[in-house]
Amino acid sequence: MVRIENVSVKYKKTVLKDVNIIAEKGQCIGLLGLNGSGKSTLLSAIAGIKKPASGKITTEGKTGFVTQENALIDELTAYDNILMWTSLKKDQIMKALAGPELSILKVSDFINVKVRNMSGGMKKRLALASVIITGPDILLMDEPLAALDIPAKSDIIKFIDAYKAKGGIIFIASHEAEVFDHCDKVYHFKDGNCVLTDKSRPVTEIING
Amino acid sequence: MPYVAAYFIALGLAALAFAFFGENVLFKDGAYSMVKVACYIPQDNALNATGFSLIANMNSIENTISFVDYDSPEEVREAVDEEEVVAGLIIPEGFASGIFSGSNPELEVVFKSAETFDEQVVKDIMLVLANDLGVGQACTQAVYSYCDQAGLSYDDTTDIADRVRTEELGYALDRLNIFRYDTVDSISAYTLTQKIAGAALVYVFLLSVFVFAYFCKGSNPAFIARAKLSGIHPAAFFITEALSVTVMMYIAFAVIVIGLQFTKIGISLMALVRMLPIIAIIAFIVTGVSYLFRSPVSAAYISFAAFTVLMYLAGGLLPIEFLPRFLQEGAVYNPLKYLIDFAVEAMFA
Repeated sequence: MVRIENVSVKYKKTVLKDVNIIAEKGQCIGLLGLNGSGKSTLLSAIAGIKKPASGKITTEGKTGFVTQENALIDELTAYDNILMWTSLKKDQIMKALAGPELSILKVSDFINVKVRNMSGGMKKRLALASVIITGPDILLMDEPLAALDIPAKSDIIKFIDAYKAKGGIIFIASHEAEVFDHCDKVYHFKDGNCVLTDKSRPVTEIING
Repeated sequence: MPYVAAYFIALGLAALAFAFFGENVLFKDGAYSMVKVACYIPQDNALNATGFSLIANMNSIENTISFVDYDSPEEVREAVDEEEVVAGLIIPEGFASGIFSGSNPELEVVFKSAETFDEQVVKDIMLVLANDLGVGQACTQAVYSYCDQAGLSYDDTTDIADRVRTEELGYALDRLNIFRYDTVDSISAYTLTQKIAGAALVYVFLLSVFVFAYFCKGSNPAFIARAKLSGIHPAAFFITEALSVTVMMYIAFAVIVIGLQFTKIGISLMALVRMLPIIAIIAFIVTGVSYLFRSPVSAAYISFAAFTVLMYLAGGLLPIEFLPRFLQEGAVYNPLKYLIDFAVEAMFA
């Protein structure tokens, strides 16, 4: 479970005010809002990277964070980038990549390709795989579908469904409408406020409303 | 690695070229510097002026020192104190007769601290000049002592003394090469070449931030976030990257040391051991700068400007003796000055 209680976060001004969210196992929470509305800040706060000015965040289990900017080293292969963040041996890594969730991402297909030679979709899959392979219980994803083609988006959405089914908790910050169809709850961020919204409404209506 | 290797090869070659040919840039043929030296020549004996003119007309003195006559020793000391002149030479009353009588009169050389390059040169010349006058004094004494023992007449004695002055002392005092500082044969120029080589090396390694900033991930928030979540302390991340940079710099340094074995710079192979802590310090500085700026381009430009200015003020680009006095005094607060000194000491001691 993830419990966010009256959390406020400040940089030079207040970015988030009194955010309250509860996420249970197997739930996907969507975070929707314009650029600079505080979605990434909330994810950083949940990850423990940014300390809230007030309030409390309680998490049970290990957290994995797939940031908007990939934490990949261009000069290394996909395998070496995964190896950098885990203590698993090669056969364990290959076995994990062939598992029910990670096989959706198809990282095994380009495991020996250097990051600088990868497309945006491949990089995003690799970034996700390198986080998932460490076995997090809570997954934070910041703009996972940004700049991806349709097949890549489809694979990542499939992964989200598989991860939820396994009992994981996901927080997704995004502008992509198709992501929110797979979310259990969607919160709209505006002017530092976070409001639970009706996810059946079109995204543009939520943002403009 | 290819980018790192290319950087060090390119700038290392440039540094080597400067070390090879830097003396031609710094020391132009026929270059001279005129500084003022106060002098007091007593009028009690015409030999004072004669001996003094022998010294003043020596080739290297003529092009370096402008002697200014003062009316008393006190005025000479005052002129040095008030920095109207760089140094002062005082011939005491009774100096010439004292030589002939054997009472060993001494010249007085007065100077304040020698800080600029010109002042260093003058200080060295003044000491040589005083020694040369001492040589003249000793030779003349020897002549008179011998003549006295041989029981020669006054006329024969002065005849012999004249010939000694003209032929023997004339040779000793008329040497043309007391101070040739336009070749590396002189100790000063060689020391300067060592300092140029050391400073160039430090400069090249500091500017390697151009390359390493693109590879260091500490300025990337995604990496820091990932590291924290993986239980890796950001400090451990920094140390790991800094140590990696140290290894790469050390390999490049080892190649440069081996290359310098074939030059007249004469860097000791022991430098491979002694330079290790200095390379580590530079590597940590470079990694730290890469962490400070999120953009590698910003890191490169800002560090280029900062390091170039600091190197100049530390006497790394031009000898510190060439700088204005107030900048020389400020150099003691410049950490790069000490880094260069340590590097020169480590490489050439």
